[in-house]
Amino acid sequence: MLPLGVSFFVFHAISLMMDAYRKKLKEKVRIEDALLYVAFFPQLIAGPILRASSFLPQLKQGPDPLAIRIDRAMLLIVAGLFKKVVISNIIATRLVEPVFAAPQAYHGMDIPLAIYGYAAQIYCDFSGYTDMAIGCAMLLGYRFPRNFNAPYTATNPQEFWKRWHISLSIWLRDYLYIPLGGSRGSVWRTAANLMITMLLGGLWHGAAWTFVIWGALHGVYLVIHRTWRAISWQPLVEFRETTAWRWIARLLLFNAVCMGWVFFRAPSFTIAFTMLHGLTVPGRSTLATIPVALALIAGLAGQFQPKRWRRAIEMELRYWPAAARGAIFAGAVFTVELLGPSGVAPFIYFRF
Amino acid sequence: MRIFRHNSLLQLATAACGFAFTMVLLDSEGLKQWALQLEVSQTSLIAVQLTSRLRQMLAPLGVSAMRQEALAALNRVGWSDDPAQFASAQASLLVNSPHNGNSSAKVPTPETLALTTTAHPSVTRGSIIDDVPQHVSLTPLPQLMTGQRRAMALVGDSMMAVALSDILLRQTAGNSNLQVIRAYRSGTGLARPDVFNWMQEYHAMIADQEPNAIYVAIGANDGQGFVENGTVLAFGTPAWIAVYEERTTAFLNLLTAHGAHVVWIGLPPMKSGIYNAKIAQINRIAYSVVSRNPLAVWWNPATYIGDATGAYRDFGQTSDSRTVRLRAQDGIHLSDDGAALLAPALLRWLNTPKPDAAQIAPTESLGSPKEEHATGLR
Repeated sequence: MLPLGVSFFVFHAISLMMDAYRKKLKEKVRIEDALLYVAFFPQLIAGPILRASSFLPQLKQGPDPLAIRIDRAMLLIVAGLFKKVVISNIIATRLVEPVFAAPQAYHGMDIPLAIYGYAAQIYCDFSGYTDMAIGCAMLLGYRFPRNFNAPYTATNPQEFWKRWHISLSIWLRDYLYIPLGGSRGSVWRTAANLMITMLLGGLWHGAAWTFVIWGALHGVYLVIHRTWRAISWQPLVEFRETTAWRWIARLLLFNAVCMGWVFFRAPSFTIAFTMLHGLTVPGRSTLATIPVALALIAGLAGQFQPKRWRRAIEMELRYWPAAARGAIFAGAVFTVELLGPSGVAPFIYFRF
Repeated sequence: MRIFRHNSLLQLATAACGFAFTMVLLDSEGLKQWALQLEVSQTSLIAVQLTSRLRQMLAPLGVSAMRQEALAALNRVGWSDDPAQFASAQASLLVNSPHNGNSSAKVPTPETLALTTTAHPSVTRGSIIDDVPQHVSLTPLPQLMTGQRRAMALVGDSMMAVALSDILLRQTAGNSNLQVIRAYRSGTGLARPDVFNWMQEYHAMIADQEPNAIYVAIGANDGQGFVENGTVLAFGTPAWIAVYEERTTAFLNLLTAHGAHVVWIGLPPMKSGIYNAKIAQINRIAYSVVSRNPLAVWWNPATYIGDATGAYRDFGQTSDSRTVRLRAQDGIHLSDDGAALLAPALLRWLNTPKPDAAQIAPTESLGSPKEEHATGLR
């Protein structure tokens, strides 16, 4: 039996050692700071993965009680709670779990809906957790790096990995991909480095071949993207700059990512291939209900919401009396509890 | 002109107070439910009393009733498909309604459930059998007549919800002779009706469907003390056993009330020795109760999921010598491979082949050795 969050504190321990080895830490690290960095509770179980060189100076300096952004922290916590308790749970219990448990029993639109549903579920589940972790740390006066940035708006695999689980992507890039040689060698060497990095990234999620396939798929996507980007035929270069192509690319990438999620979610290859086969069988959906549709739209289309909305709410709240702000957030938490299904499944990333 | 307010520790504390005060106003019921779910002890009794008092004090504000109305409205518009939650909201509305006349006497409230026994007219108490049988063969149910359908219900706590229900659903998918009713809920049991009352929720969970074949896997959360008539009963004491036996009997009577046949799946051996001893006690009580009911049979999964002696094992080997994990990492629940090991024997009892299989070879599809071997596990 492995301790809870083992992979995350191993990542932190490696980051600490590597940053010290590379002399990125300006000052001597105290043992209690090192332990706190590895075991800081908001990120202990499922990240985000903090860089030793960015977090240890914060510990040394200590939090500034006058600079705590209460409103932003509370907004993050409420948003995370909503994503997890309402969106992710509704999609999980009413769409994804029944279909992935017995895909033979479903066909037609239920299968693609369940696959898209899982894409929304895992995003809301994991980004919901990290939003809450970042919010909790912010209330204590510490800054955590952003871990998600509307990943399904990405137009290519490289951009996707700059928006999805950002702290893991950076960790893999800095401590695995670049030490392997990165893109400094030949085309083949770069492709091999990408494949090795993504395969190991897949394997990190669990010792199962389905995770290896998931990693391999993303490795292949990255290699194809690099090859495609290297083509310098002028008409193609111009076409790649058009808005139409960006939307086509976005759609293609999203479906490619969803293909990967099938292997990521399926407990076995049999289930994964049954799901993929189910895509070819036409038919109407039996699971598409209004709440499921609303949750799917919120989970996927919500990523296209302008960032200024959240900032505007935060700025507006700053003018309200503190007690009223606390009451508003209590009302928001209560509403989330009311809208969520009874019983909440554990966070998906707790198992990694 | 609006004045921008800098955050300070005082503001942080004021916001926290505003948050806490509003939460208490809005969700005193939730606080009480939290207190009720604490492990039974003197501290939890104090917490229950305090939160109950708080809820009573805030009752005149009508927030709890509004919350229940909102829940009921959300259910009516199809926001939630959880029939148990709907039933709970409806029951609560009936109780809270000023126009309900005597209905509060008919619908048990959380208050009355918390510290009282669930009465059942046909409960009979007997002695607890010391040893449970290792090998229990399940006699298949009578074959279906043409045009008949089997309504199979999967009932229980996480021992049913995790892996086993998935595997049973997967292996019966596409069988038009079979109607599947899901009536399982993780984190429940028979020891704490104050947390989740199966006697009350079961009908809501099966809705208007009436199963005629039921698989039950329940009891993994019951290795704990509870409060009965205001007295804390520690797990395993004679008083605890008597009450738990009574509750198990009442629950089984409820399941078989309309003539449904029941397979009560015993709890598998557990990794932790202390927990395993508690589970063995619960199995003995369940076996004793089930063996008194002619419509039910208690089935021991240890023969399949355990080692040669029926003891806990993490891994098993497939027929092609692959080693697979039979239990989840927690040492309690089944893995998919572990559940797949139980499924053939359980499904043989159901005796409901798919229509095409029935036409081709009606007897062979009912648990022939070939089918058992198909799981590939030993």
